[in-house]
Amino acid sequence: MATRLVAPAVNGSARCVLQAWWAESGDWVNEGDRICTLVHSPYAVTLRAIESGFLKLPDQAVPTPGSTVHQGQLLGWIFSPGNDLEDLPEIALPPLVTAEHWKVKRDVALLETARRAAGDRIPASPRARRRARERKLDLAAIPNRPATAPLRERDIAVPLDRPAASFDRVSPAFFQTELHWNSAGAPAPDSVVRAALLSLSRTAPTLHEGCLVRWTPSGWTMDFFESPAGATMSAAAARKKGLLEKTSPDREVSWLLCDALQSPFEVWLPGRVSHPIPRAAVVIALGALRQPAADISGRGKNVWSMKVTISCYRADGVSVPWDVWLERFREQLGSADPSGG
Amino acid sequence: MSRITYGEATVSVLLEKMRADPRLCLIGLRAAPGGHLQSAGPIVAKDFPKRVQELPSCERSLVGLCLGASLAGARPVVDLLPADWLLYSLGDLIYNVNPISHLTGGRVAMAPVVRALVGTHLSSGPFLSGTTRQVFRQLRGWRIGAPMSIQEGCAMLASALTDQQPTLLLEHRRLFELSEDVATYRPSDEELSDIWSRARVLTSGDHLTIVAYGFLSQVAFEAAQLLERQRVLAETIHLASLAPCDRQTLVASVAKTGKLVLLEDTPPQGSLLDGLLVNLLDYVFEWLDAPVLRIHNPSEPPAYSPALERYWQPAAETVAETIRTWFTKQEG
Repeated sequence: MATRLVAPAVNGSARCVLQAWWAESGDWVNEGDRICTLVHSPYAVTLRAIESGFLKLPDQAVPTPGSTVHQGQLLGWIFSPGNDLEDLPEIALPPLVTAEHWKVKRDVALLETARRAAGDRIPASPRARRRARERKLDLAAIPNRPATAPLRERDIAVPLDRPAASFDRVSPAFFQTELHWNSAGAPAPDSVVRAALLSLSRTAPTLHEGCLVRWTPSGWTMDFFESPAGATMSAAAARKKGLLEKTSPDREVSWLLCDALQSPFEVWLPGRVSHPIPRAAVVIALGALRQPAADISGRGKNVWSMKVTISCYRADGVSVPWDVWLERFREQLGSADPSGG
Repeated sequence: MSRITYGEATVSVLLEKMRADPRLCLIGLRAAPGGHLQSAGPIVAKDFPKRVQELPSCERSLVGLCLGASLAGARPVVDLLPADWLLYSLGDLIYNVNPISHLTGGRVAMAPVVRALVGTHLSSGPFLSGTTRQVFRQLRGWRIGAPMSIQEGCAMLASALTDQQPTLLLEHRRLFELSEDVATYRPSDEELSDIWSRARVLTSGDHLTIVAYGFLSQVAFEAAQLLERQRVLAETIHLASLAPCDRQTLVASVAKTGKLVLLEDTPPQGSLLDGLLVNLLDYVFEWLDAPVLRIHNPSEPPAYSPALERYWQPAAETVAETIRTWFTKQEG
C-alpha cells in the first residue's frame, strides 16, 4: 500500500510555496528523511517520510521549487517494498486558482426567495429608483423593461440614446439622419435642433424610451404641440412667454421634414435658447412614420409621428450625460413656465 | 408559583446540564452571590464544588483556562464575563478554537461556551457595556447568540451546553431584570432545534423591516407597536442567532418591504449588524427603496451616571419617532 504525500496547511494557510525537494522521484527514503520543505512566511514545514520506501512523484505537474502548493495537494507517494510502482493511481491535479475562486458566491436560492417575496415590486438599482422618483415615473410603466435584470439608471435617465426597435420595424417611411450642430452655428440644422429641443423640454420630465413627437402639419402651424406624455402646450402661450419666435422655413429643414411630411410647414423656434454646453455638438437622429393616432380633439386620423433621439458630445468626443445636458438646457429656458398654462 | 428571573432560569438550566454531563464545568470571576455580575458560580458550587473554578479579574487566564480545559476534553462554560473584557482574550478565541479544529481535521474539536454581558445598564460605563462587540464578527466557526427573553436565553444555553460547537452568548444586562411566573423553564426539542436556524418575526408589516438582536429586539417590538398606531406597519425581525444567521427570513422581509432599519446599541463605527448588512446587500440591493437606516448609540463612551446613561439606552418612543420621521421623508 502506498503512502500518500499530501501538502498540509502551513501557518494556517491553504496555500504555501514549495521551497525545495530533498529527494527525487525513485529515491529510497528512510523513515524520518526529509522530502520537501513548504514555506508560508514566516513558517516553514519540512515534510518527512513517515515510513521507508521508494519515493514516487507524479509524472506530470510536479511542483517546482518556488511554485505554489495548495493544502491537500497530492505531492507524491512512498511505496514500501513489494508494492507495484506501475500501479499508480490517477493524479488528481488541483484546480487552477482564478479570481472566480475568490469571489463571494451568491446563493441562488436566496435570490429566488427575494424575488418571490418582492411580489409585484420592480427590481431597480437605487440610482434608477431615485431618477424615477425625480421624474415622477412609475417603474412598472417603463417600456422595454429588462425581463429579468433589474432596472438601471440608464434605462430611465438616457432613454433618448436608445432607439425603440419596434418603431424601426413598423416604419414604412422611416428614415434616419444625423445633424451636427455647435454653438458657432451651422444655421440650417440649428433650427431642427431648437425645434426638437423645445419639444423635448415639454416631455423631458416624463421622458422615457425615446421621444415620440406627434403632430399634424397643421398642428405646427396652428396652435398645439403634442407630446407622447399627453402634455400639450399652446404655441400662442409659448410665444407670449417668449419661448417661441417665428422664423422662415429653413431650406434643409424643409428638405428633411417635408420628405416625411409631404407638405409645407413652418418651424417655430424657441427664443433665448442657445446650445447649453459650449463647444459641444448635438447629434440628432430623426425617424418618422405615418400611423393612426388621436389628434388633440380626440379624433382618429393618420398622423406623422416623429422620433427624435439626441445625444450630446463634447469637442473631445466624450458623451455628455443626458441629465447634465438637460439641466443646462432648462437653465437656458429660464424660469418661464413651459406648461403654457 | 414563584417568579423566576433570567439569572435563576439560566442557572437552573446550567445545573441540569451539569448533572447530565460530567464534562461540564464552570469558570467565572470571583464575585459575591447576587452581586452586580450575577455570577452562577456560588450557586453551582453548592452542588458541584469541584467543577467550579472562580478566579480574580484576570480575563486572559480565565479564557486560557477555558480553552485549555476544552482541549483536554472538558466542556467549560465561561460565566458572565463582560464582553469588553473578552477583548483581552480575543487572540485566543480567534486563533485557537476554530483553527485548531481545522488543522487537526476535526479530530480536536473545542466547544467552549462563553457567556458575555453586554449593554449599557446599571452604570456599566465605558468599560463594561460591551459596545465594541463588533469584533466578535471575527470569531469564525463560533455560534453567536443574543437572546431577548428568558425562554430564549434558556434554550440557547441548553443548546450550547449540549452541542459540540463553540458558542458565544451575548446577554444584555437588562435581561437579568426580567422575571416570569414559571417554576423552571425547560426548552422543548423544537425550540432547541430552531433556535440557531430561525430568526423570529415579532411583528408583521409591509412598510419597513426592523432588524435587531438581543434585548434591543424588545425595544424594536415596542417601537413597531407605536409605529402601528401611526399607520406605519413595520416587520420586526429578532435575530436570536447572529451566527449562523437566518438570511432567508431577512431577505424575504426586506425584499417585501424595500426599507431596512438596523437597531443596535453600539456606536456607529461598525457593529455586528453592519457585517450582516454587507452580506444582505448581495440579495436585496435591487429591492431596496431607500437608504438603510441605522439606529445606534452615540459614538462617545457610555457614561457611568444613571442620569446620563439613558442616552445610551435606546427607548421605544425615540426609536419609533426616528423611524417614523425617516419613513415619512422617504415616502415623500
